Amino acid sequence: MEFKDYYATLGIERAATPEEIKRAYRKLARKFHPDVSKEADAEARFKDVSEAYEALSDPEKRAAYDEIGRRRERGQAYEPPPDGGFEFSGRDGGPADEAAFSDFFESLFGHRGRAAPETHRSGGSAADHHAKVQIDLEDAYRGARRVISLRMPVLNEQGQMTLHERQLEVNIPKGVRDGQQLRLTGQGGPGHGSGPAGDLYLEISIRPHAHFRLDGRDLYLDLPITPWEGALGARVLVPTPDGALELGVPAGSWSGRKLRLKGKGLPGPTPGDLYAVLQVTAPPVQTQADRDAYTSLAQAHADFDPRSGLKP
Amino acid sequence: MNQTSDPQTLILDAIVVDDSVFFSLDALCQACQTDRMQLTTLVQEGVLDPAGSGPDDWQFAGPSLRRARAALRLLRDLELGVVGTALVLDLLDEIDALNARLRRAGLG
Repeated sequence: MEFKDYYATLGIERAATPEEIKRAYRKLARKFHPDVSKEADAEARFKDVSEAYEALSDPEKRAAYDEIGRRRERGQAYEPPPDGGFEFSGRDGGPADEAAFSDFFESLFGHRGRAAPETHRSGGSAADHHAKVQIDLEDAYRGARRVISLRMPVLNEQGQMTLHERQLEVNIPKGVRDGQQLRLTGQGGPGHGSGPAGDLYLEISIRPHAHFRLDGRDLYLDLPITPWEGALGARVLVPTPDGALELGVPAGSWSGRKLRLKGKGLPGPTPGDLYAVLQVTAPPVQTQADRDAYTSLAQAHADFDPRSGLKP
Repeated sequence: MNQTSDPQTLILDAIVVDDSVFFSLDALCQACQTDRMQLTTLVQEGVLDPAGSGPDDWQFAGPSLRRARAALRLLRDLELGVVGTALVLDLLDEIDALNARLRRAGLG
């Protein structure tokens, strides 16, 4: 098992005071918190930082961790302690769907060594669980079926914590938007006594698409056209996540003009629109014929001055 | 830790938690795994805006779930306090709106 250097994760010395540990954690937590951070690997980094803080901010856990570190310096390889780690008077762990700490942490402090992700529970009710699902834009357009694997800690008959893995096949409705939650009734934690089971919530994130940009239910697409298509008008094929459509480009269209395909965005009670943002693209000059073509265009527009507005 | 798994797979229909779905205060507490006091504080600070006249008939629209969970994460992980959390969420909304404008312009 890989030894984790929690001091390095927080960027502090081994002799750091509790205040220094807290300060380092807060600074990194602000930097990598998934709700505020724009860093690409924010979620993984935040998890590392939280795990390091969880281990080092508690004097008991820090002492145990330092002992492992000293043994390691003497050249002993890290071996997980038997019986699921040191005994700690930690709070109960929450659902393992998110925020699970590393195997190294669990081997050292046990599953119970982890503080509950949410400290206050409403009394007596079943736990609702949360997980994240990434889908493609096409899935949101047409609906999709996804197999989701969940790992949940469960107490077995001997009272030991085991990880129970289960798979769900989920029909994701079409028209779901980025960041929306899906509810799977009764698929959360088991109920207490004869009470109903909790629900499972899936947070949808839609992967960025190579061509389409999503804004709520509206889609934006940069659509290259030739100067003569823009000047004279044309009918051009536009890709949509649901197949190509023909679009009329009105004569006199230039770069930046937005053409709306009504109702061709994400489906829903009020379907979104698809906007084709025109980008005039001129052909390169490679042959004498190309040169002649541009020259005759220049002669035909000898009076045209695109910079007339810039004159002092 | 031992692992077990179910052999069979269930096929389930998911419900989109949109504006047509409402949570009572207790249902939102359960969905966020928090207590009435925490969520009431978030309502008082304007982070959440339920319909209804008081805690017992508050109705939270579906998207409140995401906002409440984000608020609770910020409160817990950054130890911000409720006022600071409300401010961070407002600024995040503003950043989202600006990013949407950039995306529409093809700059995002």
